[in-house]
Amino acid sequence: MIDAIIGGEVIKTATKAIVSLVSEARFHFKEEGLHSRAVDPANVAMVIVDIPRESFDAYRVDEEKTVGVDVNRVYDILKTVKKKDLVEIKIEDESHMKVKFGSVEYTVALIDPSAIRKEPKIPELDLPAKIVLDAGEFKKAIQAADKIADHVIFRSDETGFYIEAEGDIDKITFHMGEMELIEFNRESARSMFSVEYLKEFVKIAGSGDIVTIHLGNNYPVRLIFDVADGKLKVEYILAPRIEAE
Amino acid sequence: MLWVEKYRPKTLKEVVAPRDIIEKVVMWAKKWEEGIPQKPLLFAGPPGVGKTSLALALANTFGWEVVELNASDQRNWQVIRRIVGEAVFTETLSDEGEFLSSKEGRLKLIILDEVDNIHKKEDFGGEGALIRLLKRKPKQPLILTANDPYALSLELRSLCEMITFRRLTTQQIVKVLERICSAEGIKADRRALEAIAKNAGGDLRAAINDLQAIAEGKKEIRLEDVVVSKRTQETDVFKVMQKIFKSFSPTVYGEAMLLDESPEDLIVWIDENLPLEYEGEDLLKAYLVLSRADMFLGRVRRRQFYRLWRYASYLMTVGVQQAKSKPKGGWTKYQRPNVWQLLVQFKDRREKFRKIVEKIAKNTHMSKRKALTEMFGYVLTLLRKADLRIASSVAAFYDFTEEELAILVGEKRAREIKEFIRKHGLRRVEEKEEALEEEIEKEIEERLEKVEEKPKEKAEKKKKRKKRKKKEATGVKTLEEFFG
Repeated sequence: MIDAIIGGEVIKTATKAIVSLVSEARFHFKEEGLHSRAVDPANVAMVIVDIPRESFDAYRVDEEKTVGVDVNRVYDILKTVKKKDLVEIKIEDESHMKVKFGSVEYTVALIDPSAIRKEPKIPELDLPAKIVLDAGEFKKAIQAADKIADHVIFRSDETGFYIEAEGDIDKITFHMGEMELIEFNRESARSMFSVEYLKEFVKIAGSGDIVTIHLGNNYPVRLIFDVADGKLKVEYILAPRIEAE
Repeated sequence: MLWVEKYRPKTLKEVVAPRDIIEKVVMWAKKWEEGIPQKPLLFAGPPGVGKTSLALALANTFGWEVVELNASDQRNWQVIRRIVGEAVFTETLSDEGEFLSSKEGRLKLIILDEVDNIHKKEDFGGEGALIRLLKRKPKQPLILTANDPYALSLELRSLCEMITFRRLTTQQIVKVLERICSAEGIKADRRALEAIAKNAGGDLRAAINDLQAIAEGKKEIRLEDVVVSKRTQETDVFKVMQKIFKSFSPTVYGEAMLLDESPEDLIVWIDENLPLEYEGEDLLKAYLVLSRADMFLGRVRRRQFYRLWRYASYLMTVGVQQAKSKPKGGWTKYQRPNVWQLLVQFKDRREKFRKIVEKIAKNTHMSKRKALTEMFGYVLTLLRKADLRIASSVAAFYDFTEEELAILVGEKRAREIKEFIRKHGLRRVEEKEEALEEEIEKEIEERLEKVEEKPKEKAEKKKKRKKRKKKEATGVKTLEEFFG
């Protein structure tokens, strides 16, 4: 038996983060909180969602449990939830999950976890550069890049952090110096990524949220979003584009 | 667990495929590992011959990650564009949580199964999207499979390297079945396995499924266990033709039913090829039977009583088959019926004819059917036989174009008639009326403007208008002129 109450925004954003890559996922209800992760069908990106116990208004887990959830459906329902609404998640048996908010009680059948694509291990990556900035600014840069190209270059050196996109006839450069960044270790790194994925990732962020970027050379990037007043941690790992030589 | 999955080849050694295909594929993979991008492969061939198995075994042997999009996934072009489009240009995060860099030869094989089978209706630009994607030179190995590669556009095929798979022989299938039996600890009679293999018609997957259905839970299988439930293997219309014309075996009815042709199409095939095979009395008898079958088809069409199809099918297959005294020897090259082609060719002409009848119906105020059965003959005779003046007024009345006249009376007379119409300014009655009405209204308006203050004259005008109307009415009388 699992019974948890949580702010509408937190659970809405968490499901939104997952549906940007997959439609079904395993939810682990653990002592320390809710955890879920998945790799997209193209084996290009990974999402890791953690809602710590403290972020719940109430959290009761009799025993740790893993359930398979059709996240797409749940997210569709949660779309109507207001930011300040409270959402209750209840799992009494193996077969159903109840989601209650306001006067609505939504019941959805659970999926056998073994029927969902194998869960990835979280890769250990050696990424030199660490950049922390306002997620809203980052979002703006990605959305602008999306207008002109299908890939962007993330680059950092001692002068700051750059996002560069190049279209057929135009070019965008986003630059933040050390002063504008919240945290920066001045390491240099450079990798190229698909905008298609990044633009899905940034959807969960708003200004005031914080994103931490771990960047390497032609290596995957880790994007860690602290959203919903720090109550939710969403981490994305994205494999780089293969650059033409 | 399905044996088909359980015994799917893990490595290239286990794959049942001709040596040259395997060598080709291995070369292709090695080039990829060396960092030289290759054209995507297109595996073409009937189902169950190991297309997907070979692709999976290849990835396994080379230690590549696999992204497989198969027919069972709910997929459309949009999904494919997104997943394949991203997958082929990016590095890989493996399921094991490892980052695989293509520079180190750690690649990801994308398998796009049954590309000829993706719903085309949903998105017409879909194939184009795949073509554009291939033109951008994928950075990761990509294998497409298709049962019917010719359902794909030439452009798509030319962007891939096509490898054709043939049906497996009975011996090849028996070998695999024996291996599975020994792995499962089943004692199998070789003849039983041969029966299964033969029945599968070169489809290994089908054979393994059949074997599992028969053998699962048993320790031993004998020949008697193999109930010959004939697998619906692909037969084609040519095989059925052969059976009808060359043999006396009534099983042909069942085979004809398996064809992907409706009885209405099949009868055309038989009709087309019948005279190539039979002659003399046989031919006569066969056509009598065939015409009876056609009568049944007619009844089905009229009454929508599809139960009668059975009789039609039986007559056109077994009926025609039994009508012969002995089959003609030698090989006959059966022909594709040209009826459909003719239908297309004559569609244009038919359409014009329909227009003609429509015009007659409209202008003589009767139904099209009546126009065709009662009126058409008279009109035609008038146009053909009557002297030019009358014929021309008829033509003008019905407002036939020169093209239509040409169909009815031949080009020469059509030209003469049109010439006459132009010269004498003949027009359709209604048009005359319209022209007249317009004239009148114009006149009235003019006069109204002139003498607006004189109501007296207005009355007069009304009178005049009436007079004119009378004149109009006389215009209709021209109808009688034509047929008087």
